Amino acid sequence: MEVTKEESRQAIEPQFLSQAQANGIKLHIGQMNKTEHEGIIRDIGRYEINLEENGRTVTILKQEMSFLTAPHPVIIVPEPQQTSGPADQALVEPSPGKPNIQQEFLDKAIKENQLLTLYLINGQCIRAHIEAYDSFTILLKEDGKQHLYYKHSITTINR
Amino acid sequence: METNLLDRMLDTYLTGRTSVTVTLRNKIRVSGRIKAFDSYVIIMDGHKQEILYRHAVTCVSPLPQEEHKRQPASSRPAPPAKTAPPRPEKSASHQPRQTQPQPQALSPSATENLNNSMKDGLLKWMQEQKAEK
Repeated sequence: MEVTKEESRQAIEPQFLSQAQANGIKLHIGQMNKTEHEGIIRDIGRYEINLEENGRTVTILKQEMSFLTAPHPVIIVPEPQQTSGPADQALVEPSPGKPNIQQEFLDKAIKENQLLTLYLINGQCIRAHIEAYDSFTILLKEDGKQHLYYKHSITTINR
Repeated sequence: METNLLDRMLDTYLTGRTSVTVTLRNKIRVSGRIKAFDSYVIIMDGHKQEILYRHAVTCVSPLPQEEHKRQPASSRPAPPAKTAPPRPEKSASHQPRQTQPQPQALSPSATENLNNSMKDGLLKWMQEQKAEK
């Protein structure tokens, strides 16, 4: 099976969810309509997750999730400079005719450890450092907490 | 990774006749039992029948008191008959619903209204019968 460039990028979201489930980490989940949930992941589906909240199993759809917050880092992202530096170059370079603007922007932000400001669809605003990203999500760190933001809930990112 | 967890959960709630709360995008909560569902809609069987589009659903959860009766995930396929509350089909509206004391959806006033309307209907019918005699 041939793997495209986009897919070969490390998938953050499934890793984050399965790690949180395996370690029984209590996650704080924010939804697009500003309702919030807190609990432990029980099942992970492709489009939804089961969360155990106050003894009940709540099914939450990923399409309506805005962010997941863990009280401490769930996945450890390797430092970009030493390990994935050359690999990143190789990833970006082969398409000189059609630059991937988003990828360049986010890679630069990771490398230079920039403080980003994210504006969400529901008007919320977050300032945090970006750790990693994949096709659908962005992993942020902010005073010891780790946040996973879905791109579908983000309107703009400012440097 | 499961492909359609929501379908499985809805099926569990449907077969277990569990009262659920479905939260929609606009934060409206709809409570009741699931009557049927397919890949696009869910038909709810609350105090009035409703059809929900699944694209508007953000979250599905059982009502608090129902969850305690549910067994852990391993023994889910066989809902215990003992713990399930007796469900008198016809007399359900005469007695206060123990199965759903959820304040937001089926408040006592709603059942009272139902009772009153039934009483009114019965009275009217009795009067009609008398008049005929």
